[in-house]
Amino acid sequence: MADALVVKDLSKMYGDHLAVDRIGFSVKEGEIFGLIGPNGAGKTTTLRIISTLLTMTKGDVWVCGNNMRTDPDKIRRCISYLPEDAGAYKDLTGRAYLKFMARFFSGGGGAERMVEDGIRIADLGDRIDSKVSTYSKGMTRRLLIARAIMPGPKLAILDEITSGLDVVNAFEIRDIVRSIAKDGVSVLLSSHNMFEVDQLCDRIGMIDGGRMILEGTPSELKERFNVSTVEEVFIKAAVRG
Amino acid sequence: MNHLWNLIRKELKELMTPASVVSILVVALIFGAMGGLLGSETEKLSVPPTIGVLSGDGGTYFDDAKLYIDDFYGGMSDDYVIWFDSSFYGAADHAILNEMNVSNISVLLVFDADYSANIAAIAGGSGTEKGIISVYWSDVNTGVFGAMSSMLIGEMISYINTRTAASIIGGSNPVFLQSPVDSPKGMNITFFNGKVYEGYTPSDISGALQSQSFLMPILIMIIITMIGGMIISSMGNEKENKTLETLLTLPVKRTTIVSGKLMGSAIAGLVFGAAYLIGMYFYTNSVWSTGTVSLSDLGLTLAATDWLIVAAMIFLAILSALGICMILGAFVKNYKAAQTLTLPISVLAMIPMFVTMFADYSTLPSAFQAALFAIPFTHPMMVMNNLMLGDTFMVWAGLGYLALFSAAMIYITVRIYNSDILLTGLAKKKGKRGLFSSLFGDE
Repeated sequence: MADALVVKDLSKMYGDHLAVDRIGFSVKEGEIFGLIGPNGAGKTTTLRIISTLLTMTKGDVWVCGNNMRTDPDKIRRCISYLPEDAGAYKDLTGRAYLKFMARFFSGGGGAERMVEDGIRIADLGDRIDSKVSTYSKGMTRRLLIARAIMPGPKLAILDEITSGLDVVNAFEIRDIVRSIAKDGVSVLLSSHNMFEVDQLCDRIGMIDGGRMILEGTPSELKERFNVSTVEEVFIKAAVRG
Repeated sequence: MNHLWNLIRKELKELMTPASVVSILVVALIFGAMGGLLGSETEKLSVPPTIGVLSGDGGTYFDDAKLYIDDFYGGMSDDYVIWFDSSFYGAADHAILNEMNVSNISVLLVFDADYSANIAAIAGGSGTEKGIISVYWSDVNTGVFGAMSSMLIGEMISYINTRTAASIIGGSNPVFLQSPVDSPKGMNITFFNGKVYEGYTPSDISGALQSQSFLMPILIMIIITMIGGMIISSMGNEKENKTLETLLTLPVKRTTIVSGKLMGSAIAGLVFGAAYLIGMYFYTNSVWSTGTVSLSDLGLTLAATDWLIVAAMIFLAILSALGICMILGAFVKNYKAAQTLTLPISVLAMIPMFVTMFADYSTLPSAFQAALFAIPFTHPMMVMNNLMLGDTFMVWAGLGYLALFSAAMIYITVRIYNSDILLTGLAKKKGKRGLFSSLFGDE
């Protein structure tokens, strides 16, 4: 399988502060890759760079064969980024929000089909025509997941997708992520929920202090640290540093 | 173009919500209603008041006074004067008030019983007591125009005084003898702005220009403040909800995103500004409609090309305001923080508003002139008067400055949208960790 994402020696400085320090990893087509690490480790900065939101200080990133420095516009056509705690435009209805987003990817009938897909994924019933301001957190998250998936991205970048959601909503959203990966979409996600990472991810990378300190499948990492959960891997790796 | 239109439509839907449209319309309607109220008050003043006259005197000078009152009303005193029966003379105040209410009048002139006798004594050279007219008032108007009714009665008594004095002096033209010197209005010649205005006083000219001097600065200030508040709040909302992050990862150019925000806010601001303009027009029209000289009487009108310049200047001022606000908005973290950042743009709009309303730019000290010139909103506030008065240097210099200023603001905005600053703020050097972490968050 080809690589959907290749990150090589990526560094990012904010003024004098080194937020990301020469990290490297890759995500294959249809693979779910989880980025874990303590607060302030550099996960969100890494996701933002890959999403073309922030510039990198050093290193290289390729998404679907396109180089970040030379072809950011092409990269934006094949990714979907869902930030942590993101919201939607509160004065739009769910349907109007999906229409607004779809028009950036396609026109006419293509956009209509995309919106229909989005409505199916969001599964909000009649509430799709209610204003976003009236949605619960779970409903908003479903709408945003639908927005991120409906254009058919090659790489979905999801930051803390189930943060703050109840058990049912979190379960359903994880199910959606599994199903899009089965359809060939590569997923790069970051999460503090080690159970979620263990359940969802094909491979895991752990960042601490801006550096990639671990990488492997959940079973490889559990075996390496001789523990039974990814949470214990996290604790042991964090203590070791 | 489709992406731009998509963004503009989204901005308009976000900004022109039913709540915001209703609140703007209510304010515009209040202005309009205030104008209507002032207009009706002004209209009332143009109609002579109906008064009552009561006399305890049956002498010749009172008979003369009756004729003078009729003259004051242009021979139509039957329509405006109720002659009270002399039996009321000396009645208690509450009885007089009751009769005034029955007769539906708010002013009653009461000629004293010794009115004629006192004046006759003065005419004969032996008297020192004047003829007294008491005035009873009821239903006192405490509004802006409350003083006007007493002024009119004062004028009437002055008229009676003049005519009575003239009859005492005698001669073929006693009024002429009382005031042999005159300076008729038609003999006023005013040199203003290189032109000669015959028959107009400086007061006429400044009065005619006053409506423009007030309306434009207020309107520009309202539009700038409103648009500024809208776009900064929109940026605050986008950052708080992280919709901006999503928007920036979409396959659309950053310049298109900036243009969509600018144009959406500009259209919303112009629509709301137009609503205010209509309300303000009715308000100011009623306030200044009492003036007898109009701008067209003075030949101070705008040609079609002048209106194009005015429109271009307003458009550029709006672009400048939006540019400043988008730069400020780039540094806000959330909606609440955005509210505090509307203050600088409001102050920048209010300073030239007050100065152009109450002072003449050309007579200000040079340093103050330069500071005002540097504020982009000064120029559209002054442009109509400058065009009418032929100050082409200020018009073209202002237009050129505004074009450069707005282009610079948009350039900086696009640069910010293409940089990390929009998401991270400005980086700090080591040793400033508190502020640093507040700018960059926990990652």
